[in-house]
Amino acid sequence: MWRAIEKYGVIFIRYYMGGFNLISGLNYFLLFWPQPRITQSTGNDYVMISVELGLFQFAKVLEIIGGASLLFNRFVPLGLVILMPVTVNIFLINAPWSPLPHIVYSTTRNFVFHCILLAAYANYFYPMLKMRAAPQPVWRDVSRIWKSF
Amino acid sequence: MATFNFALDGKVDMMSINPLEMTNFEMAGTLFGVAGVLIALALNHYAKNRKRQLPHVFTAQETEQDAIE
Repeated sequence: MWRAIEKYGVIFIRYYMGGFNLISGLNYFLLFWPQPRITQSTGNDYVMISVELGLFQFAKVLEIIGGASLLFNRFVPLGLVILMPVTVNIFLINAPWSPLPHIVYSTTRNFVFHCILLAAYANYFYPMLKMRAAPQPVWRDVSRIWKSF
Repeated sequence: MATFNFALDGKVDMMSINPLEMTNFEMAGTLFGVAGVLIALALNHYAKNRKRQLPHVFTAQETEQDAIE
């Protein structure tokens, strides 16, 4: 029973995060729904500057790529890594500053969901915990890239 | 002050922390999530004997100090 909850829970969270990020990213460029209004808060200044620097647009492209990878179950660990800076930034600029409880709750939930997915796919990240890592350059054997597919 | 309200009126109460009070993106995520679980349940039901992909197992040689040689 626990295994079933674990399995389908992870599937739900993966599809949820994939759908959320893909739609959020696509909506920025296609605007099929009105963009969420920015409220007056300290984190708002960060959003305005990131829009001016083009970081916001870049984050939306990352949302599309990462969201699609989670939704279509392709390169999921890579998608999680791509989306992590977006999720962390959204969490940090909203959770402590937003005056709207729904936004605080929503960004915190997405952050927790992201951490659960990272934990669920932990076997792809264990090699990063190697204390003494040796380089194995990609240019010595480029074929390893497509062999990994 | 946070509330726990929920109303099916097509609007989002940003003061509500009720998980059923969803924005468009949350609604899209939830729909994809529910659809994904239903698809997974159906695939599991109709393909009991299908060969599954196992999680990748990393070998120690990939991160050994002398693997570069």
